Amino acid sequence: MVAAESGDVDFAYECRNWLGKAEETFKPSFPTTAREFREHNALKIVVLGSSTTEGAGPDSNDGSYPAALAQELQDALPTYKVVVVNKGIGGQTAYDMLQRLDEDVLEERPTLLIWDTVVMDMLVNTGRDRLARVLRKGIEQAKAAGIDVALMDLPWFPRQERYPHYQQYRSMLLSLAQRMNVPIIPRYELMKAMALSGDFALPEFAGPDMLRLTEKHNQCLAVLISNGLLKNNH
Amino acid sequence: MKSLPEATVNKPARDLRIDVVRGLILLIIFINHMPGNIISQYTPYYFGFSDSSEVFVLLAGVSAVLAYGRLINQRGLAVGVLRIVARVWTLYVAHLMVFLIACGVIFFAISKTQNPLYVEVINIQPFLIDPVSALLDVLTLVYQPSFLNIIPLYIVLLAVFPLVYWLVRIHPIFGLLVSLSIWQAAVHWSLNFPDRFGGGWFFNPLAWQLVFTFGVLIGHAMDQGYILIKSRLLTALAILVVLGLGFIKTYTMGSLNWPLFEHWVDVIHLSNDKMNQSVVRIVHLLALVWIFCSLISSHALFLRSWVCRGLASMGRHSLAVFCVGTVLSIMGQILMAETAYSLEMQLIICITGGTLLFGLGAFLSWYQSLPGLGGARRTLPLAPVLSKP
Repeated sequence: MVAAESGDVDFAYECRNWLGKAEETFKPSFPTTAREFREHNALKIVVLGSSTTEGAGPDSNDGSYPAALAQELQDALPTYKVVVVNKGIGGQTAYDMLQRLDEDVLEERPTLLIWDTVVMDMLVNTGRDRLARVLRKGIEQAKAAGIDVALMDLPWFPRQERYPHYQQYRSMLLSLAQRMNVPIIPRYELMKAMALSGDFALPEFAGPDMLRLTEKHNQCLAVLISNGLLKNNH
Repeated sequence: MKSLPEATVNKPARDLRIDVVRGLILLIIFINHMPGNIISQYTPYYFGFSDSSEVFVLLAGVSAVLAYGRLINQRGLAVGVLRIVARVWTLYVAHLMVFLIACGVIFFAISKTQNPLYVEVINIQPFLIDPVSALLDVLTLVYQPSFLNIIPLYIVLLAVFPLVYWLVRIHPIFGLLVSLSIWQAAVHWSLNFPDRFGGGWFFNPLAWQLVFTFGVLIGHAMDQGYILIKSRLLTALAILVVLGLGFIKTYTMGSLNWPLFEHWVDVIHLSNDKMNQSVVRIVHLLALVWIFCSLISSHALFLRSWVCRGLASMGRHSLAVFCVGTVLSIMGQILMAETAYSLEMQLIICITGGTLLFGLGAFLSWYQSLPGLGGARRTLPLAPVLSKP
């Protein structure tokens, strides 16, 4: 929430405008997290992902959405113990993340896992069968350990038609989430709404604007997750 | 041990198959390093579990015996080690150069196209957010961008070659057992070389040394003049293994109504771990090697065709071809994305790149044959020439 704190009063307003449609589709039910709220006034989230999760550095104010999410939740729940662990490692496929699921997720004992993957798999063409298999396995393991799971939708970016399989991978993710009854965090809708809002120099997207979009998007994505989480489970 | 005549030190009789397969593998790696292109869908990766990386590392082991093992035998350990150190240095410098050029290509592409995903292509993010620590990690091989993982592995394996070779010479079974134990220890205790992100090397040297050791064992056997036993039973079994695993690899879930079988397919697929060499990859690789060695003789006529001679030239200059191929494949990925993976562009890029690599092999062979240039260098045993295996 760097922007909000530094006096960007418009941010909350802007973000609310951008959220519109995305917020309507994100009404997750997280039983373990809801119980932890009630019983221990606490919340622990692990975000498992690649470079979009990782953000810009190791410190907590790194511009990543997990860092923004921690801030957002702590602001909303000042008396609660809020922990958001960023387990993003750039360049990783879903399988790489599955390999570290035990250590990086299960052993952390969070109430909620946010799994942000698929982009790298699309880039290296893992194959949708293998990807689905890996996702299923990871979700099953997390659920078996009593952890709530949410999957992150893919990012939106200009000129996706560069990657003809992008939407195929995306619809695989969405239908798998639906079949396994796992909420999807509608990042794609949010980024798209932001990009098409006219608030950024798109679609010609000079470099700095794409970066500014990413930065603002990470903050607004945090608001989206936080709102969905709190409104439906707290 | 029968010592070879002195004259063979610099020019050992090469088994043509090694260079030809190496050249072929280099081409396949080039194609596979442009994921999603149509030709890559017909490479061995899609039909089996072990892939070109295993064959590459295995052949590195074979060639290490033929080059450095023989040198150690004839000139002593010190000369052999010096020679290896020189080679390791060459590999290290080559790795850094490829990295630098790849970064340049990616940065150029990002500035021209604003496609944020190019950052992901070789995972160059650390360079954007923290160049100082990224640079240090590149120099210490702690940070290996995607597609640039195999040379660091090769550096480690070559550096420990004298040790592996010594163990194998004590007794091949002993060498194999030590190697198997290290591999299993690495799997069991999750041991790996450190990487920047906490995940370990993409090719865990503690696991991949097993594949290298297989190569050293094969090279040692060749050096000793052993000939593969003929066993139709084993060959049939190996073919069955490769076909069976090929079926599992290409099997589409739900096409047979056998839940138990499908569960089993799932288990095998999920165990397919490249980092630590899963058992299924090893079994697949050994079966492939057996089939190849039993069915294709080193005197096979087709090995002398112009295609195979071209491949062999590539194989003999594997480092140069690999480095150029890596840069070309990154450019290829970007070009394909910018043209939305149109079929024509995919084919043009694959064919152009393949032809360039093929031509590079031929060129380097020709260049080396020029009197007073590459040819003269061959007599200097310590010169770190690109062309040595």
